[in-house]
Amino acid sequence: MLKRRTFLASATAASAVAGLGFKPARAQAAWPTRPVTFIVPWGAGGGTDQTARIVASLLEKDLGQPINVVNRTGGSGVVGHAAIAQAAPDGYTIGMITVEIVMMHWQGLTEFKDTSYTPLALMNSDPPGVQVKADSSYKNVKDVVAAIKANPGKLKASGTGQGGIWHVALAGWLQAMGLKPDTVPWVPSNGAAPAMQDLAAGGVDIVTCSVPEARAMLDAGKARSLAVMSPGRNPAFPNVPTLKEELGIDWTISAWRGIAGPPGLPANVGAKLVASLDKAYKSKDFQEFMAQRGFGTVWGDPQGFAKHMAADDAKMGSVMKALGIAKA
Amino acid sequence: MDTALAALYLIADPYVLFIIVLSSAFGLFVGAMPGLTATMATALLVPITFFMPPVPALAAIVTASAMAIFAGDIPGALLRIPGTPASAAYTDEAYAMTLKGQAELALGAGVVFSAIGGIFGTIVLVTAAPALAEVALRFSSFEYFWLVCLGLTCAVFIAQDSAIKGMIALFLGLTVALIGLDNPAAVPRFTFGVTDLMGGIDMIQAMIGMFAIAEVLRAVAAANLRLPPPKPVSGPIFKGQWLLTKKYPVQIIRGSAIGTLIGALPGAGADIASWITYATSKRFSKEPEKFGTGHVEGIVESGAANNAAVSGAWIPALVFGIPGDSITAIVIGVLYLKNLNPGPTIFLEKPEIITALFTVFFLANIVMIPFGWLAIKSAKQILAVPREVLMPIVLMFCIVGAFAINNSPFGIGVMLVFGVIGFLMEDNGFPVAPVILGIVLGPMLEQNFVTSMIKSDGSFLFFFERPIAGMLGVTTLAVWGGMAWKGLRALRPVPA
Amino acid sequence: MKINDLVAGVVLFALAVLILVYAQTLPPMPGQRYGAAAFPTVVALGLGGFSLMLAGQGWRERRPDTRWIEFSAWAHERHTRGNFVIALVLIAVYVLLSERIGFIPLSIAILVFLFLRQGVPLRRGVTIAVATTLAIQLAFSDVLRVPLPRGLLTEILW
Repeated sequence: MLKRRTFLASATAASAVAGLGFKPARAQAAWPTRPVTFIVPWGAGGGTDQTARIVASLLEKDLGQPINVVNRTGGSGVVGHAAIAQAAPDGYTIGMITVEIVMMHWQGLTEFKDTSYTPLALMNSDPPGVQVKADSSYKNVKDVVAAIKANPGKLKASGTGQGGIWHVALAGWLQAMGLKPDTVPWVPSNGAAPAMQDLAAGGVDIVTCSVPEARAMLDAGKARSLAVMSPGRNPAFPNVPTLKEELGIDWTISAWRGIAGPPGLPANVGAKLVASLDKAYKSKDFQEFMAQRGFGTVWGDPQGFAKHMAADDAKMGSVMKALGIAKA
Repeated sequence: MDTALAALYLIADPYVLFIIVLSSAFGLFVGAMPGLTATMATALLVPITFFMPPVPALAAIVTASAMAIFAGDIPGALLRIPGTPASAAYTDEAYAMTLKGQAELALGAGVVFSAIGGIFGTIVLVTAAPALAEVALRFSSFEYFWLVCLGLTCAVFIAQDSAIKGMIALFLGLTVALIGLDNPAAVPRFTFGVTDLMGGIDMIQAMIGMFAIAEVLRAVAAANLRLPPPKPVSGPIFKGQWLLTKKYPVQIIRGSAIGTLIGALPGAGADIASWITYATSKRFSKEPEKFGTGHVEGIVESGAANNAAVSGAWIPALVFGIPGDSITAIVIGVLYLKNLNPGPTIFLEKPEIITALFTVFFLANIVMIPFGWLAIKSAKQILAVPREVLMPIVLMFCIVGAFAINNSPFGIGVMLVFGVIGFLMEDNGFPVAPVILGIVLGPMLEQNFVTSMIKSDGSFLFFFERPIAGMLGVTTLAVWGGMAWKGLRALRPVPA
Repeated sequence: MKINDLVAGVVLFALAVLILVYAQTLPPMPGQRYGAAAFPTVVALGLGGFSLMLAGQGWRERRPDTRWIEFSAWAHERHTRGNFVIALVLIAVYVLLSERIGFIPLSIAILVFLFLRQGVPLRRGVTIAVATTLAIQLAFSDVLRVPLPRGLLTEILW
């Protein structure tokens, strides 16, 4: 009787050990053995979704397993970013994180921030431009600055929601010129497209969204881009100068997108992913796709990506505090 | 010309044509099946259209909804049970015709004048929408604010029995719209720390709940789901329709025009169009005494009206993002998912898709004639599908559909809650459509009000300063004033 | 279930008061007069006003035999009442357990259960439930790539 019980117990223990030993071995050695879920915190069809889908299709080709892009939308990205951070760190759930991850925690919207992930690769970065209506009297960005200084509070700007990336871009720019961040009141909008329409309709004076977002209206001749907030000019719009060239100030900012997994991703899974992402980034398919849409490409390996996020986090924090939208 | 060619290229794709055929069959089945409505057909299509390119996705919705509205006539005539609410107005009339041995004439009138009404509505859509879009390009938040106010006012007209209940339904919808982070101040409201609520209540999930789950609940709570055997249809269907066309030209045009107009009014759709035109048909008829005894005149007029409304509803949906009925409320959601944000700019940025969409409208209403004929001929088989098997399957589709919107089980919970709310509301005479109007228009109202106040530095005068805004503003205030005056007079006790 | 207008009006009015109170706790928008609280306040006032009107209507139309809440026929019948509650519970069960158990087993279970309640013969019910579930799995998960939860079957099927 006793013998039998011991036997049973040891058999259970043995199988438990075997089970424990088996699972990580399978996860590590042969990853991926089943489809991988790729979470996108933004809606289908948008810039983040398009970028994620091209990256996922290239990963799929390289890794030999389906990469399922899943849009977990809502709450201005909070829901999807949380889903990536909270996923099981087995390599079967990764996702695309965006600049909002170093902004939302300052507003107290989420506890997750840049350090809540295993960064894998930074792949895209789009700086904002300073857009005005096609028939406005401002010939260049200096005219705009003069108008802002002459009548503080009169010009209105838009481009995204309250406290969004382009709002911070505007506020940081004003601060860099020694002005108060609310010298140009922000008109919240549901994204860049409605803001550009409102610009064309004469509802607002300035839109500080990214150049690819403004492109349709720029190409249609309904708006003009006066400057970009990046270190160098955009190859797709070589005639648009940088803020540094025009005003001699050092304010640069960008909306970026990168790939990350939940914290504690096994090192070999991470290494395999980074190698595959590097291949995807260098591929002609990716570069052509991004160039065609006017999306900027930039590569950051895990360390570079982490450093980039940490620097951005500090930058966003200081501007958002000045704007009064960061929680103490 | 380039646009027309590009649109033709988009439509002539065998895949798109295949989708049109499939969704025709789907729409006819759902419409003919009592308890499944055209809105439900659209809601159930959403997760599938998710993964299609925009043109086939929209083609599926257009075809299925147009077919479903017509097919609702079939069980109305053969069983005296309307297949969709849009056929309810003349169900008794059609059934009376069937009893007189005129089922063929009633159903034939249904399909022929549905197609004519649908084409009439499409012609109005094709001419009016781009022209309106041209004007709307110059709209800023001030104009949109008034437009949304006017749209919300329509909730009163949707509620046919009680204006108070209509307004309460509207405000419940506005309350739902408060939830989440997506407001101008970007402050989480009514989220109670729940991350899933940050994104707010998804409109499509709420609609699957209110229009499909509520219906499934009603069905499972019914004692017997089996339908009685339908009356047979044997004779030729199109015989005599040409005579009807020559006899009732005024009715056809009046029905189509009123139907298109009601469709274009925010929130009011095919069902209201058919009630109103059945009434106008009777009022202006030379033989009103024949109504209710199996007289085809009313069927001609309101049969045309309900399909005209389906097309008309797309006018405000495409141009302003304001839903003309509950089907286009879902369409707006789908457009956003496809990154085809409705608004005047869509006519500039994606003209080929708009032209393709218009072509699909014509196509759908033309193929309605042969497909409708088939559906009428196979009515017996369609109505023999056991509903006790169908309803649980619909429930499962709803679950998967609600999940697919944002891949979260939370969405299924949202659907469940709204299913119960929709069920309770309908039991108590609260119209459901204003809730949808509130959910869609609430964020627009707040957004346009707050941004206008920021632009005007807090001055209300700006709401009247721009010429179009001023005109819209004065109209809105006049409508409200008129309604308040009427309401007050109704409250005052009549002196004896 | 028919709820008397007076009861419905009072309940909705209470909801409006809650919204109003909650709205006043929302932070203002820096530098702006109309912030997060403005719109909820308007909605609460509107909802409250019309709720009172509804309650007033119910009060005026009350009669000695007025029932505050009246259940419809299905709620009196044990079987149909059971059907109603079961449908709600099954959806809730799906919400709570789908991630753990997975779509395929749960869907089959839910469908079989509902079919049996509606009087579908067992063998026919099981066949249709399995066929429907596999069809949905194939269409949505494999073709449309909706990540239907795999749950218990994760290790077996994938």
